[in-house]
Amino acid sequence: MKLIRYLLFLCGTIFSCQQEFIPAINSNQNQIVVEGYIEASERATPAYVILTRTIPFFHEFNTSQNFFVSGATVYVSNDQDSVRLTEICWTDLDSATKKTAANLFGINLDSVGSKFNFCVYADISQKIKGEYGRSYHLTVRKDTTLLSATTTRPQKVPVDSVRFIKPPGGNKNDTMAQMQCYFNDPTELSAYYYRVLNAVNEKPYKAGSFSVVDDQFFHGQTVKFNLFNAYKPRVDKTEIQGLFYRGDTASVKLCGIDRAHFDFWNTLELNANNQGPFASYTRVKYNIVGNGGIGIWGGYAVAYYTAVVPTK
Amino acid sequence: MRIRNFTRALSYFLTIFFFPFLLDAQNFTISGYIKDGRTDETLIGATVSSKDNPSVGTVSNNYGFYSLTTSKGKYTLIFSYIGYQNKEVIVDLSANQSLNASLSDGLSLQEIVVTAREKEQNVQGTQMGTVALSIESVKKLPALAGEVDILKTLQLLPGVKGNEGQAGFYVRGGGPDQNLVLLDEAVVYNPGHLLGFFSVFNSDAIKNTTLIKGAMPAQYGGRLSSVVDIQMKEGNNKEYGVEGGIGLIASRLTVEGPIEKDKSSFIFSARRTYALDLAQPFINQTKFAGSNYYFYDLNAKINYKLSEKDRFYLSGYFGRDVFAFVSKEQGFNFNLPYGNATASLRWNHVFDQKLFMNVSGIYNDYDFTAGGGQGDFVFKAFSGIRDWNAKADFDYYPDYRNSIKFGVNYTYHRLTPNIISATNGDQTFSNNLSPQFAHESAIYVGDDFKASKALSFNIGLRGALFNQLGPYTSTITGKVYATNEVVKTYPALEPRLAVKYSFDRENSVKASIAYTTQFLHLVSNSTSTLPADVWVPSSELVQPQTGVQYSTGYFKNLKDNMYETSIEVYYRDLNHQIDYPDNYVFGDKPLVEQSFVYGKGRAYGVELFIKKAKGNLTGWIGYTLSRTERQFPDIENGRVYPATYDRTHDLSVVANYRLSRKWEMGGAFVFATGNAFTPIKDLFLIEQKLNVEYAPRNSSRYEPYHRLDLAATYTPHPGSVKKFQSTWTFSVYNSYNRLNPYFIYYDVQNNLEKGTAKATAYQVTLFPLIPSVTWNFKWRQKKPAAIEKNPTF
Repeated sequence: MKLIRYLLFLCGTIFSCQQEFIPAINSNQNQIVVEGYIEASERATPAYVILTRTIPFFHEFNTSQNFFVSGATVYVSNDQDSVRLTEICWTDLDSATKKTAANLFGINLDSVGSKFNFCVYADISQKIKGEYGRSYHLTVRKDTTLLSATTTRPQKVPVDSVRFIKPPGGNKNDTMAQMQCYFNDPTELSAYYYRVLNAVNEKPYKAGSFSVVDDQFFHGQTVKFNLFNAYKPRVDKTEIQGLFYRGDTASVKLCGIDRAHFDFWNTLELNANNQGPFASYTRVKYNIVGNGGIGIWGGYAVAYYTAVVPTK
Repeated sequence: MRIRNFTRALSYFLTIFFFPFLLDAQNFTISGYIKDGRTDETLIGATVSSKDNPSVGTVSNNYGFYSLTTSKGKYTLIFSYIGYQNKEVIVDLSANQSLNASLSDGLSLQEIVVTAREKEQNVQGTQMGTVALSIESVKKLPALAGEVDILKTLQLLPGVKGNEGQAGFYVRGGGPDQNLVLLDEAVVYNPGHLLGFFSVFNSDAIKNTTLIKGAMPAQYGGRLSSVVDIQMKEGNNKEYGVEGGIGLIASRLTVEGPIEKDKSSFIFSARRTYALDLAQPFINQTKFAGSNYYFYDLNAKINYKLSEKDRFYLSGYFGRDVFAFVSKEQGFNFNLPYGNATASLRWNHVFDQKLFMNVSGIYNDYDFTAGGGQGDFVFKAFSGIRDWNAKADFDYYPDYRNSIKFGVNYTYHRLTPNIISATNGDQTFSNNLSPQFAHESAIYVGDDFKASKALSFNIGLRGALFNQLGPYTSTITGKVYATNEVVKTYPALEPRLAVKYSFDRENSVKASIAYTTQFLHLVSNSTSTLPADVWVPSSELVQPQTGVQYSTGYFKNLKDNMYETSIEVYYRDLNHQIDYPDNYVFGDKPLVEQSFVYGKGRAYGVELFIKKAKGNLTGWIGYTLSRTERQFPDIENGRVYPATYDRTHDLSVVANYRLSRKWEMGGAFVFATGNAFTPIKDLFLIEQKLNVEYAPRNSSRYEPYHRLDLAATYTPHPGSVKKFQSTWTFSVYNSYNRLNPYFIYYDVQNNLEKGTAKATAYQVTLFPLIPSVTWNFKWRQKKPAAIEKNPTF
């Protein structure tokens, strides 16, 4: 999207112009959208699944609109156990639990109105524990729709260290820093896939525009990469986007994911960014199998790292 | 099986038709060159024929050479060429003789119709779906920003489709990589500048352009759809001249003249854009100081006539686009240089009057680099294609009924995939890709054969062989191949046949069939072709594309050839077509071909063409009704879908009107069904952000595309006998400011803090109304004679 804006700016200064386009309605049925994760980490969360419906193309969306699918039967299993997930809705929670849930699901408590609702199917018993290197199976049944998926969590790759350097180029801003993150890509697997998220202070973990990478270019190497802050800076300036404020607490969540999970994020992120005359539309590659549903059932092998951005 | 029958038929024809003439001792030959009388530029496709019996005739080849063998006797031969005065020569053919004909480019002051005979070529020629455009007629048409563009003019012809802002064009349902674009016989792999807004062909350096969209003759191969054969000027052999132009975005300068009079000449032509150069002082005051974009083209050619039998030509083209983006604040820089280079060395030799040979050594290169960095991080991506080509082509004219072409062609290809490297401080990353190599060889024979006054054939056979070569490591078996070791071989046999039956001089029907094979592929993952797109060879992973085209048509000229009309119908089957799956992600696999999916295509349509070739008002109307489909098992389980460039209706109206001696007006109107595109179907939430779900591929259409361009050319001193002459061209692109859709994009704004999201679709228009003015000038060493151009197309 950024590329399009740059190009539009470039062309626009000379020639082009744009107008709003009203697309024809191409949708005649709402599909179920599955978004489920199972995490293995030192602070593992219960496996959970959010079920929503696809929405015909429209203009405005806000949290008071309800797209959640209630009353579905959701099972998660590994090769030994199986558990039915329990449906929990936001309005059922007390305020303390709401805070925990908001942090877990990335909900901003300040913005949610009184009509806000949010439903999730969770393994509250935590019977199925997230373990490294195991496969997990999901089935979802709602009325006549039957969906399923399998995900595998690879081994964890720890974050080796994190450094903060001065912003690149001529950016003289001394209140901000660029994060550099180090880890060792494992040699034992022929291919390894990562998703990186970050948090700042008390805020929940959030992914940037391009959050996944495979080790095609650095297989088995020690990797240093610039981690761009997914949170927008407090002042809207392009040149400080992606940087961290000195004095803030910055956290990294490095997730090992399987190929299908990687493909999902990789295509989803292109789906939003890859448009225009110099690109093609990208159809998202889901790992959900079955008619009437799309989405992801993803396993994460998570490593965390937290550091305070030095003031100098 | 079909191919085998065809081969049998070919040998039958060769035996039956050649031998009687080869054995006939009473025949004599007249041969030579047909040239422009003022500059000595050879004329391509000029006709020579007997006044009494027009079927005793021939056409000059790409080097202006003709050879006519017929029985002993007295003949009045008429030499003719579009826009030139006919020349009548009485010859007594009692022995072989040489005759060079020089034609005058225009009318003497007494008006006589000069082009009639040449004009019958469209009816009487065997080849169908062929259009020759003289650069003079192209220059009269309106052009975007005043930049005359031969490829854009071709897109005004029926069966040829283009998109605004793209150099790539689509012929009868074929992709942009399926057109063989030749400049002095060198393949031009990327004919576009500025992401395709302009073509690389500088009109001042171009002499002639031929488009073959029907069955291509056997001397052409390696592409499925069409041939665009462009010849550069050779340079004035008689006097020095300078011409050029100053336009809105670019300027041109061409210098030509004799090196040794009547023996050798040169031409050097340059073009460069400067819009952003002029803006440099302003850009340097912004935070983007150092950013710039420009492109340039250099064309150079020299020729040397060693003797009447031997001529040498050395020609070259070099063009580049240079884009630099610098953002000092962010410490970010990005460079994008890319371009083509070609060089052709050719030797023409006339063995005897009936046998003409051209031996060529050709080098061509297209390379694309993208590089840049921020802070410690520096990256570079490089791709390209480089060919070394040697070929020998023979034209053999045993008698006036047969014009035989045969030859051999060999190319060594070096194809560089996207080699990406990056450094981040002390760390280095690379995708460790290596170039791929291939031999492409071909042998061909073809005959343009007049069986009778009414019936003629163009029959040909081309055999091609493609070898993928080492060094290469198989991505299937892991086997390592040594340098020049053959990895995979693909043979191909391509029969071609065209038949013409003429009812009289002004009415004919034609039919043709052509099998074609393509070994190199350019697959684009965008709606337009991009300079970064990579040419990929046929290999153990990729099979050659194959195609067959059937076409038939009726051709009629009216009112003493004032009007040329035709209706052509075509049907094409395309196999092993290549595309990306619709969840393709760039860089997903090391080689792009590992991500390819394969399918088939078909295209059919009808093309109507009416051209007014003479008079104060000239021009044409071209209309195409067509359908182009693709089917890939791996795309939506084999659902047949319209190709992106499927266009139901496509209309072009082109007119040129001579208002007075000083003013000439030109106009072009185009109307086309909107392009197919893949629309949005639904939105869905993931991580509380809106994402888009797409409907089936190409299941929707943009609004129709239409546009009217106008031009006026003002000659302040028509008929001037001064050495220096100039003209002004005023043009308006998209004169009624139609906001045609260029692309549609969806903007999804997620605001997680506020818990809101908004999705909007936008339609972007590339070029609204754009006026331009160009000043063109010409200086000649000698004063021209007082002549005036005859308005023809």
